[in-house]
Amino acid sequence: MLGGNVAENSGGPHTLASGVTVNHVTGMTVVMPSGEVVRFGGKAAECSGYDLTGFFVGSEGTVGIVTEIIVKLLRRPERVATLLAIFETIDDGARTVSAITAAGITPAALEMLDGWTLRAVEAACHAGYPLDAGAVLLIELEGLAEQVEEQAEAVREVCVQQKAREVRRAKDETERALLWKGRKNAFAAMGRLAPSYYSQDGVVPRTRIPAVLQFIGGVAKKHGLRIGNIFHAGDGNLHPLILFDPRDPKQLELVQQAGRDILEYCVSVGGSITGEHGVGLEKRDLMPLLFTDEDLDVMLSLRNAFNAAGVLNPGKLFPTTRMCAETRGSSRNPVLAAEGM
Amino acid sequence: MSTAEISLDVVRELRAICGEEYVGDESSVLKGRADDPDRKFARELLETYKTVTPGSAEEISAILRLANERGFNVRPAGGRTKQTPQWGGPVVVVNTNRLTAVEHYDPADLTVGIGAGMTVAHLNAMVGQDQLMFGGDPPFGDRGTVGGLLATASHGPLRHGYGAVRDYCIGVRFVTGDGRRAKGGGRVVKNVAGYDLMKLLIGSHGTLAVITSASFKLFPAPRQTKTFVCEFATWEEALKFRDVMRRSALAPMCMELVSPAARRLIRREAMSDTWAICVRASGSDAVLTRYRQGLGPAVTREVVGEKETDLWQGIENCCERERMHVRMDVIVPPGRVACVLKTLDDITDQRFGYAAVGRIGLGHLRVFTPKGTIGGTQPANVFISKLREQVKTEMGVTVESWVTPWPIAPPHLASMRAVKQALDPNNILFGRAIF
Repeated sequence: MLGGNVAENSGGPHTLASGVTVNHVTGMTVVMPSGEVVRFGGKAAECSGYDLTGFFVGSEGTVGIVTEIIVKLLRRPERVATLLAIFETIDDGARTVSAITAAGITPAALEMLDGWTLRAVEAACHAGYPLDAGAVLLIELEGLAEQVEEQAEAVREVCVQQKAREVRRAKDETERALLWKGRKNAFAAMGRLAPSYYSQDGVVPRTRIPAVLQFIGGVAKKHGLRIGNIFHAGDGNLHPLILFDPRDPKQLELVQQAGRDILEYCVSVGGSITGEHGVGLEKRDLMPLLFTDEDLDVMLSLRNAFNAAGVLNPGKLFPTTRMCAETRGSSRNPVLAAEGM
Repeated sequence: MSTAEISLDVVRELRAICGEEYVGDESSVLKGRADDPDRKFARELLETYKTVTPGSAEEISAILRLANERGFNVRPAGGRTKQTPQWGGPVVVVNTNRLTAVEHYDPADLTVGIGAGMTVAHLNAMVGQDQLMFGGDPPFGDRGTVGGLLATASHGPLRHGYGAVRDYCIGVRFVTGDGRRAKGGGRVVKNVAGYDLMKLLIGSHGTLAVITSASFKLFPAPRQTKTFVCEFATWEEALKFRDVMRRSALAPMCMELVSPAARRLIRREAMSDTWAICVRASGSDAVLTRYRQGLGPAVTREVVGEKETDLWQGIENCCERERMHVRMDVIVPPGRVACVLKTLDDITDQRFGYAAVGRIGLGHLRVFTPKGTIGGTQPANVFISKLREQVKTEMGVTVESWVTPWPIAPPHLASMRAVKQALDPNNILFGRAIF
């Protein structure tokens, strides 16, 4: 639901050119922890004062409950081209990602599936993915017809330069929908291979994609796990899918350790622990990888400005080491208290 | 308020923090700008206040902690292109000009991290070598700093095609009013870890924290552009054309309304008495031909090369040529722009004409009204008052060089005060008057 998207500042495949949720929200109605109903922003692209609309988007429900949202709409593009670039190796596919952006092209979407994942997806969805490839890139271009045609040709050239063995283009909307069906149902397809999977959401600078994929391969080997990669390559937003059987406590432990290893690596190369899924409970104790005590202290003081008693989403977002501070901040914010909020 | 009110003890401590050569009076800092008549106000201001030019976030933190202990106010300053007068209490101006380090830059990642004191022009020159560009083109980018751009949420014509700075700022480091050094976001283009503190600081006019550095997405620089000047007898006709454009598939880099008076301020447009919409497009010859066809008979002139660069610099900086005007940014839902222009028509006459430029597709207008008076009242005050009645709170208005940058009180003042209390509990940054 849109409210959930706002709370998480959700993304998705088409954020590469169009931005994430916060780039499209101009106003909202919020129920504050006190029960007070307030409005931030409006229909204008900007309103006077602090950008509280922007601050509340992605706050994971810790400062208020959003009940109404005003969003900008985009005009549907005149033309869309969807390409499937097929590579023998995952390295070639990964290098192509930054080569496309270096060529001055910003696709609407630039998604990657490794060979192991695309075979699982093909078995489940029959999307037409090649079963013998090392990786594929799903590339979508949108805009004016002339521009899209030129970009499609330029992207094809870049892919070939980067050793793509074939670049297919969806001939019509049916073929396009089929290619996207494979991508969008990929997580579900994992259910055919294992009882469960653990999806990560780390982010790396896009030039680090080849290195991080190698690292993930090493993690899989080290822990004896199967890890598939399907992700928003254009943004550097990874979704390694770690397959496991939750009935086996040892596997569960290994999976959690593998997930942590991957996110630590993402942070070590200048990335983040989450690109669109949020922190919540699961990743709250990884926040110190990214943020200092003082960073977290500032964030906590802002949370306490609105939600000092911690009545909204208690325990979320902040590491357990900060929970004492969270509990300690039980007195109401003096400014809001004076306003009866 | 004079420098005498900053005690000698405080000055000694400031020198101990930053080094003696970086503590002084404003007049010494502005040396060399005395030929600029528009600096008269600033010069008086700067001669009056103590200045500090720290070299790091650590030094800024120490200054702010000292301010909290000793009870003086701090005013962050960058390129001083949107100078705001100070009010009440002893003040130290903190210049960010020495914070110019490049924290990270990999052209292939299309991201950059830089100190808040770097000018927008310097940033563009740096990334331009790699055929990249920064999305912001605020007025006076040659001396306006990146920190100032963030603090004031400034923008120029590129906002139409590339978004606002809130859309491409991916991380920020800052020192809160109570002296805590912190950050939000990071270096990657997609990141939802922790609160989006960039949004809070962008457009906060330095009232919450001193921004020390920031990271941005960059964009590929267009290889070829062309500007189509479309002319109209009235703004009503211009707005009809805008609406046609908004419904079309065309997606130009810039689409700027320029009023007749604004055209007279732009040297190359001096002879024009019509309203203009300048549409800048990028792409191959085929794409530009498509734009020309799509824009139709409204196009009276096509501009490329140096003339095109001059035209857009003129639009960005046209207010600089008119020193006797109040400058305001008004943003309304695009459908309410007519209401803004009608209000301007109603309150002005031949003697007190107004000038306006703006990102008309987004509902933005930069309005210049004369500083003189109409019936004893400044046109800007009359305009804002009328606008408040007609558009109510569905808009954003900021005014340069007024006591508060927000002349129309935001509807969420209590929440704003709560945020201020959380980051600057002693009102060290700009005092209380902003609300």
